[in-house]
Amino acid sequence: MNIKKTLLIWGCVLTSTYSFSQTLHNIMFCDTNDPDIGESVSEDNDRELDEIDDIAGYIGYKIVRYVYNGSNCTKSNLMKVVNSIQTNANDVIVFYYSGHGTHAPGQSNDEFPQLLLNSRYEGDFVPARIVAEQLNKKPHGLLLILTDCCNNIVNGVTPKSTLSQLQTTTIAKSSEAANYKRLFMESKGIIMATGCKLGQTSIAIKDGGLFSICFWDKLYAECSKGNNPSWQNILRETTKETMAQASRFREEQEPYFEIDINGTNVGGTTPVPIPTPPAPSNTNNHISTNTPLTNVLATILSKQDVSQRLNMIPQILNSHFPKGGHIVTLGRNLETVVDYEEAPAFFRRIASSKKIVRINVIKEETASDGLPYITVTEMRTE
Amino acid sequence: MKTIKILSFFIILSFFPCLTFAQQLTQKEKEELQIRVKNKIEDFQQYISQIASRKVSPQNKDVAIANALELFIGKGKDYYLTEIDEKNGKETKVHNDAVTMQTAGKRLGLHRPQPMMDYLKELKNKTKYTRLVVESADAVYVDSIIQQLPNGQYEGVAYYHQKYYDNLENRLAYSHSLKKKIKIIFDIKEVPTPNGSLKIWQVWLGNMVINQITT
Repeated sequence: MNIKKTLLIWGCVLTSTYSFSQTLHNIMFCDTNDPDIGESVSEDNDRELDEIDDIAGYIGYKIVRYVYNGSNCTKSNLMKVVNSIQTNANDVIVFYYSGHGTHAPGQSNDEFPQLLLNSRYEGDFVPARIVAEQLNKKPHGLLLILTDCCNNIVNGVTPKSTLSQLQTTTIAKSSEAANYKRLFMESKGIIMATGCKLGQTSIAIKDGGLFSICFWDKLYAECSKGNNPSWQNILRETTKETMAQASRFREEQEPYFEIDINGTNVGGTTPVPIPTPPAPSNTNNHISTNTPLTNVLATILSKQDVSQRLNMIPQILNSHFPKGGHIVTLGRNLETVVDYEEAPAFFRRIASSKKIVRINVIKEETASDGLPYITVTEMRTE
Repeated sequence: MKTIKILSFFIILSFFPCLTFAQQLTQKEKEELQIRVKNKIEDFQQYISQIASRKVSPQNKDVAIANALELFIGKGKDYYLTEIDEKNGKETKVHNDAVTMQTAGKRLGLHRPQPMMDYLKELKNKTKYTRLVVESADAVYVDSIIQQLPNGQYEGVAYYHQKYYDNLENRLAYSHSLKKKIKIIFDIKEVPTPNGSLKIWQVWLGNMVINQITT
């Protein structure tokens, strides 16, 4: 942070009529230990802390942090915080999650994901909606819920960032402070935003989650341009930018948000009841997270040498497809089947490809012929 | 028309009969499958570069050949169409020759198309090409016009560029660029799924002919 910005922020802090009378509660859960996306999530972790510092400085609130990353990013810690947090009216609560996410089959009435929270056991997953409902019971001014995770599956290969251009040098102005105040202090209600729509994956790059990067960038952009900032604009612009950036990776990622502040509902649908977490899945038909197969695919693609990749195939086929099986590849719309291959041909193709950088396993099921039926999407470079 | 041709390939090793009656490609499916066509042609370009390269081991060249053949209708072998007589429903298998590739000679005369498998094997054994350079992925163009045939199958065309460099003893002896036209076939196949079965569209590459030669 440059000196000018620091001085201005502190100037705002010292002169604010709200100085230290109110609190910005920052609840952050980041799965920084994840072997696949941990590096990217760590960037999200650091960026979020910086941004909250700035926001609290602009609006003159003191910060109370509830930071849970690494092995502390767990369901028990999350539930403890959301149940026990003490807040006052007009306090700002910012809940932020970065990590793996998923969505239960048959929960199309709730667009928001379930947070995996460093666990692969389904009983540990917590719907973002539950977090929102619990926190919404507490006294607050603005409640902002941000989740940057998949709404189905994340595999963690992180393509090289093309977003470094988005990182702008910030120069604080007094108008920015006014805009931050307008957004955070004059908004009363709840905003929920998540990195992608139901059924989509959320891209994690080296610099962090695509959605997170775009959100913080657009928040700053909206506050720095003066005049009449609105959450609606910020989230619309975030959505637009995230989609544009995702298309560079030949992926579809459209953030989803619901705004219910100051008596106005924008985005999404009307609030829905808290969904019941899905029953534990059986072994034959389940949504994959970090199953052995997803790890195997990530391992293949992490090797540069084609011979090394090809040498892995016989063992993979013996372990996962001893009697054969089929791989179904979905198109970018996650609906249209664009390929149906026998397992050996699929793995041979993946191993030989210089263009495929990631395979997302959507489902691992068993077909009516008794053979594995694996649904995937693939991500290619230009 | 007395008969309805139903494409089902009975390649020697594979496949269930394919039922192609009445199913239409939606606009959404067309768009997705056209992207897949581009992917497949890009993959093909990569495979032929590997097959022609001196730096790739014979074993890996064989894998590239196998991968390349997976892209084509019939997988490089002869395949059969099934004709069903509308009156009695009797099925007749109609033989189709394996997919072919047309090449150009040193003097840029056009050769007679040869079976794809022969072309790929010949490419592997040719040592004269030190580099077979694909112009760029963007050179792949998939025509947006996809037409449905009476047998229910859809057909389209795509184009790609390929550059050949013949580099003998570090001396550039011969080079040319070809624009090739590829027939694309969109065929339907019924596959077993967890919930029974599903009819899915499959993209296959067909015969390739030279559309343009540039020296």
